[in-house]
Amino acid sequence: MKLKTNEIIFLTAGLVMLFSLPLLGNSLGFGFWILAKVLYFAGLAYFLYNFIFKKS
Amino acid sequence: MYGFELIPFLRFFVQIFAVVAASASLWGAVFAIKAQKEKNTDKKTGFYKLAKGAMYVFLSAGTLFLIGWWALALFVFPINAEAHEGVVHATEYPASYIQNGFNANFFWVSSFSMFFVLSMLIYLIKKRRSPNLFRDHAPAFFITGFLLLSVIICLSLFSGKADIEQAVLSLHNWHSIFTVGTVIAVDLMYIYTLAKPKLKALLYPMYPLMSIAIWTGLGMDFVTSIIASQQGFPETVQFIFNQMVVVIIILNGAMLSVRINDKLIKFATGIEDSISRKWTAIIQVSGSVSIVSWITITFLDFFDFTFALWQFFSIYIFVIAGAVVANLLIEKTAIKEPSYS
Repeated sequence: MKLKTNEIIFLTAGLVMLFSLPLLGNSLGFGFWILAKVLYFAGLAYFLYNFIFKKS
Repeated sequence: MYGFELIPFLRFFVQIFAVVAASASLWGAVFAIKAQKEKNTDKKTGFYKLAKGAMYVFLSAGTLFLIGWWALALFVFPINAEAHEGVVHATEYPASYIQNGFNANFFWVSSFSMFFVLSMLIYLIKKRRSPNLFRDHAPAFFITGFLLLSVIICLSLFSGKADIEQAVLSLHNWHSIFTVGTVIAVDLMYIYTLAKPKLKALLYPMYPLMSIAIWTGLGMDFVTSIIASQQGFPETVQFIFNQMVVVIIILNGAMLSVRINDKLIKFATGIEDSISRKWTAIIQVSGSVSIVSWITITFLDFFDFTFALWQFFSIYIFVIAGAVVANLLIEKTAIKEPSYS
């Protein structure tokens, strides 16, 4: 099954967030947690871009 | 028991009905505006029917919200006559913020109640003489409902000051219109159109737009959680479980918003003749995971449970299984009597 770009970004964001959870008590975990959010917003921006400009 | 209390449970229901009513008014406005702009008569009628479907959701959820809110305001959080004093001197969170919310919302819920009841009365009295009453006024009706409910939802927790804390609280509540509210409204609209192929062909192509609303709503929640994280994370099992459910929402949503939407659109618009049994099962499970997960994280906002992680997950999986069974039953019942309108 071939994954589309926004699926890859959202899946990565989800997995990074999952990875960060056991480490949330320290700065490394917090870093990954923030990275997950950044990836999420990148996925959202890409999703919006596709919806607005490549609708057809 | 395990942190379960009746009052937060009732507040959860009031909040859920408010966000579902707000979301139904948002999507009702979108359908009504699309209907007004549409030139094809069949599509125009179809979009008005979708707007009517959204109106049924709005009326049901709005009625339950008003009953719940007034009951809580009268019996549990009586409106303070010196509301402004209470607001200004509010120092404790969350108990005083909840009371402040009820005090501050007294005016707005009263306005919404009048708008709600008067709209219904005017509609019932004038609908025979003016058959186009709904068509002419639907966008204004839905937009007014959405704006009033947005203010009410934003003020449901009120610190008493217009500061960053209040902005976080308001955004944290308001995003629910786009997330859990939209998920529930979409599911109800999905059920409403199950046996109506022509309406499906109009509704399903709008799922990408609804997905954007849900993703954006989750983004708003992330903004509030990033700001709140400056005070550190709560070291509780519930917090970890909550975050895991958010991960499940993202992973499930990635599939729902791309692959499943594509499949549903192709089926509803006639590009594909049928949906295979495998895909039907995937859609049912994924949809159930979505609605249960969103309701779960909203529900947990109102409680501090003391469950172990395995207990949280057992209940979560049990509820998802229940949602899948309910979904199957609804689909079987709805498709028994197809209507082609």
